[in-house]
Amino acid sequence: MHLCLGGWRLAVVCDPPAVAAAAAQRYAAFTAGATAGPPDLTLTVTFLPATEDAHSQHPLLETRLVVAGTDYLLDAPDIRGRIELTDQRASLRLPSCDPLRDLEYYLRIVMAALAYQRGGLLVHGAALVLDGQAHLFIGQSGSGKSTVVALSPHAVALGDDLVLLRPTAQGWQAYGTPFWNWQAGQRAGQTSQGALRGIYKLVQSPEVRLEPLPRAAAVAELAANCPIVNDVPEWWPGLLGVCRELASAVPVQRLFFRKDNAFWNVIAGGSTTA
Amino acid sequence: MTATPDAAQLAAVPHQAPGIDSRLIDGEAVLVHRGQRMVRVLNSAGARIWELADGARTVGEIAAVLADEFAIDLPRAEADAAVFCAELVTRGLLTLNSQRVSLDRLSEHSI
Repeated sequence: MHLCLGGWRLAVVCDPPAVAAAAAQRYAAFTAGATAGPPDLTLTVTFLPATEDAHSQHPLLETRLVVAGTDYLLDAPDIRGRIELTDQRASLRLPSCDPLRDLEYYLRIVMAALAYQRGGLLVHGAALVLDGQAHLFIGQSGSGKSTVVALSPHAVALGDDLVLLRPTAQGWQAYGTPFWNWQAGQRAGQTSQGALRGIYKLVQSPEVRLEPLPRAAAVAELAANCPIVNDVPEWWPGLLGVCRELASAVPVQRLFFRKDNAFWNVIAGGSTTA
Repeated sequence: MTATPDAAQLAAVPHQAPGIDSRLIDGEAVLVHRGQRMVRVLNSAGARIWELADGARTVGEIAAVLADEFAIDLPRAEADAAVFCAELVTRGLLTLNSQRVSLDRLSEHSI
């Protein structure tokens, strides 16, 4: 299976074959041709049989990346994971009751690491594209990211949970991912992309308005919303640097919003209040 | 109203704790406590205190710099600096020592 996420190409080798077939179906929208070029990373994933009571339901969720020389390990009982970014390969071997979901967690980890290594970010946020321009909404769980997506059927939704950002010669671009809230499902258009025009920290409020976020606070917000990477202490100095570049290139603002789509008036209209 | 710091508080030497990554951005500071996985932002006065907390200056000396640069009364600067340093100590971002560190030790903690 060859995937293209954020313009990066992944070759995924999955065992057993039944999981590979299910994964090919799950990620069909992101499938890339094997002949389109060499992969940025080759993943080998092996799932072993597991009993329901032998492990926590999704042990990968509780496993952190640990630095081992130039590589990164996912090291926990029964889990053997390694990401070798310099050699462009990664591997995972674990017992799993739910291989498809564990594969998805692993893909999130790998994509966060790959994006960071290439100067980009996998950000916890929702992103919408309107008129070719992408708007990224960040905030803690429950802040309204999925609500913003649901309130915007007229916009192309890149994601409601994790969005890929990468710098290009034309500025920062936002890319859709298959990493949506598991309960919410996905929406057509997730493979799209757009030039990143604004980043908004969501604040639920009766009034609708924008408020600039000081640069330092913006950097802190962005870094706090880069899961996986911000769990690796050795990556923090670089993470702050990337977030500073992003906050310098793209306006970061607080968006006070209520549960209707009036926020688009201040975002797309350029006004600070609605 | 903030209490006036005593002589011991002003003589204490604050030092950035190990395991903190920091960036000065537009006069403010972003601090990351690796162990606690916490990110904090300091305003301009706080960022200046953080910058000056190099293990070579006392709280009183840092307050004198603040009083000069921010054009505030020295007693107020001393009170603010003492309270702020104590808060950062509570959060594990600073240590308060009774002696100044030597210059070669300073380099161990530069980021």
